Amino acid sequence: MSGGDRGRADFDARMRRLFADVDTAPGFQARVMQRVAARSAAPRADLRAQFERTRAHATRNLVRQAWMNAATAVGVGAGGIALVWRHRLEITQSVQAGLAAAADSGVLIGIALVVLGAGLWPALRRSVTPL
Amino acid sequence: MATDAEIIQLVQAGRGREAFDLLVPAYRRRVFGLAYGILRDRAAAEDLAQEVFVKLWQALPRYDGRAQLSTWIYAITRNAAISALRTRRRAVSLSDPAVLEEVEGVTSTPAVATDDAALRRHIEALPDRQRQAITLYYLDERPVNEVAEMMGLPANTVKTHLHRARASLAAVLGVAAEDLA
Repeated sequence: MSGGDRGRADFDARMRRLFADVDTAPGFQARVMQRVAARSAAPRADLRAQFERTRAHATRNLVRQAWMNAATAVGVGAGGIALVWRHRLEITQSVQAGLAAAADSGVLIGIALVVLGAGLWPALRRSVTPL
Repeated sequence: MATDAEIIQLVQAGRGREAFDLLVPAYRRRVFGLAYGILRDRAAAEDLAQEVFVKLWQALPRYDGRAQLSTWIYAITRNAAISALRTRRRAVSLSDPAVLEEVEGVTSTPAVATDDAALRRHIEALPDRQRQAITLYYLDERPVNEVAEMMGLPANTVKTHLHRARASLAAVLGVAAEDLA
C-alpha cells in the first residue's frame, strides 16, 4: 500500500468513525408510527370540530331569524293598531252603519248563515272525503 | 434489509403497512443523513426524518412506480429539508446568541484539528454541497452514484465536491491533500 493509499484509508476510517454515532435516537420507527396515528386521528377531530362549528352557526342563524320574525310581527301589529287608532272614528261610523243596515233587513240572517256554513265546512268536508 | 423491489411488491399488493414496516428501517439512515447534511442539526434532522416518513406513509398508496422508489424518497426528503432550512433561516438572525456562539466556535477552531469535535466544526464550516457530499458519503457509506442520486446532482459533480471537501479537511488535519487523492 502506497503512502497516498494509506493516507486515504486512514482519512476514510477517521471520517467513518466520526459519523458512526450520528444517527437517530432509538425507537425511531415507533415514534414515526405515533405521528402517523396522531395524523390519522386528526382528520376525525377536524370533522367533529367542523360539525360543531356548522351546528353553532345554524343555531345562531335560527335565533337571529326568530328575533327578526318577532320584531316583524310586533312592528306589523303596532302599525295595524296605530292605523286603526288613527281612523277609529271612520271605522266606528262604518261599523255602526253596517249594523244598522243589517238590523232592518235579511242581511243579518245572511251573515249568520255564512258564518255557520264556514264553521261547519271542515266537518262536512271530512264526512264526504273517502278514507 | 428489504430491497426496493420487495417494498414495491407489497405496495402494489395493497399491503401498505407491511411495506412501510420494511421501508422505515431500509431508508431511516439515508433519510436522516440527507436531512442532517442539509440542516446540520441532529435534532432537527431527526424531526424532519420523522415528518418525511409520515409523508411517505400518506403518499405510499399513490406511489405508481414511475420513478425509482429511492429517487422519490430522496426528492421528498430534499424538498422538506430545504423548506425547513429556509424557514429556519428566516427565523434566525445574527443577533441570536446561539448563532453567535456557532460562528465564534467555527472561527476559533485551531489550525490543526486534533480532536473529533474540531474536525466536526470544520466539516460544518464547509460549503453546503461539499458538506452534504462528505456527510452522505461517510455517514451511511453510500457509493458516489447513490450520493449523487440523493443530492440530485450528477456523479462527477459529487466527486468534485468530495475531492474539494477532502482537500479542505486534509489541510486542517495536517496531512498533504495529495495523500487523500
